[in-house]
Amino acid sequence: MMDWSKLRQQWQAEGVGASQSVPLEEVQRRDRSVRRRVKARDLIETVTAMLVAPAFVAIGWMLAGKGKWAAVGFCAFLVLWAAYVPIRLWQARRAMPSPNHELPMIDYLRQQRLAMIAQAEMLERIWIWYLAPCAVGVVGLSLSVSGPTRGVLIYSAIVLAFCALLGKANHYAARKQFRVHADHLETQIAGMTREETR
Amino acid sequence: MSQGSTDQAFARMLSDNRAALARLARRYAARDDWQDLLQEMHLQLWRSFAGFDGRAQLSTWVYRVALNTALSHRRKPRRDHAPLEEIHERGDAGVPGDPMSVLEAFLSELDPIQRSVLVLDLEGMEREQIAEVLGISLGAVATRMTRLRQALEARIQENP
Repeated sequence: MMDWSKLRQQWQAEGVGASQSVPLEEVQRRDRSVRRRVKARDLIETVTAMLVAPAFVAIGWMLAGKGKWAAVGFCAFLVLWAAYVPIRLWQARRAMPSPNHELPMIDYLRQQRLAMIAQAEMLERIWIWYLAPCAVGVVGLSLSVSGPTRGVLIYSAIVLAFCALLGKANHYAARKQFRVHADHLETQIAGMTREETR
Repeated sequence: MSQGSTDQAFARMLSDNRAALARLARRYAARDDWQDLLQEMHLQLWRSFAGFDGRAQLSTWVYRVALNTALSHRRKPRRDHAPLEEIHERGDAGVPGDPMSVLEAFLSELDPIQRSVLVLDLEGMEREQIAEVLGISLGAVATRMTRLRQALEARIQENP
């Protein structure tokens, strides 16, 4: 017969002497470091947009001097796109359910599942707000500057193929990484609630 | 609560629970990853500590945060076997065929939810507290616990 209380005692004795105390400063330092990393990521996105946008402003200014108004229009479109991307990313992150570790486990798993689905949807729609506008802007700008020459057509095909490939890769990541995880969480939640109804 | 007293209360809570948190981390992370998980648990506890409103017992709250953190921390597969030095660290827990070794093997085969029920029971929590941590009914906890104990007992008897 298994002696449950003895097993518990043995379990609870593990690591009592061996564990080192955790300095509070270390936890706080780690917290600050994680927050800094998040800020740095947001800053990089914004700075990238700030570099891309002025570049197209400059190109547009130059083309305006030559009277190439269609090209100027595409430059303006790309400037708007470069400014919109960090805003869209910021909005998407805000809309994402942030994990609340204090919830009971079943509610935490439900929340995680919703977060996984939101993440998957964001990746699946990336072609609408990121790839397609970029492709349209770049291809439109090239065609309006040089016309449909052989070189421009090859360049446009490469840009479109690259964007299509990125779109596919994001769809694949959404399905394989986030949708699969969401399904797995759903199974776990169903397992927990099945016990409830028995 | 002032920042100084929050810091003190947090440090005391961490100190009171350090061994339990280490035990949890070892069972939910890969062999070379459990200390990362432990640090992640400390971090999440720190970030959530200011929001602790005392509606649940502190120990219930600590296990909730720690276990939820562990469930999210599945980047690496969990270890199946403990290395020799870890077994020695655990005192008399590593003798082959003894109930603790069988328990370790048994735990490694359970899904994270079942593992939580058994681990919380081993930590000495009442069924009501376990139900609160997991968010399921007392009856569901009792059913799971009975099944798990029976399965573990059968396993121990198979390995005298």
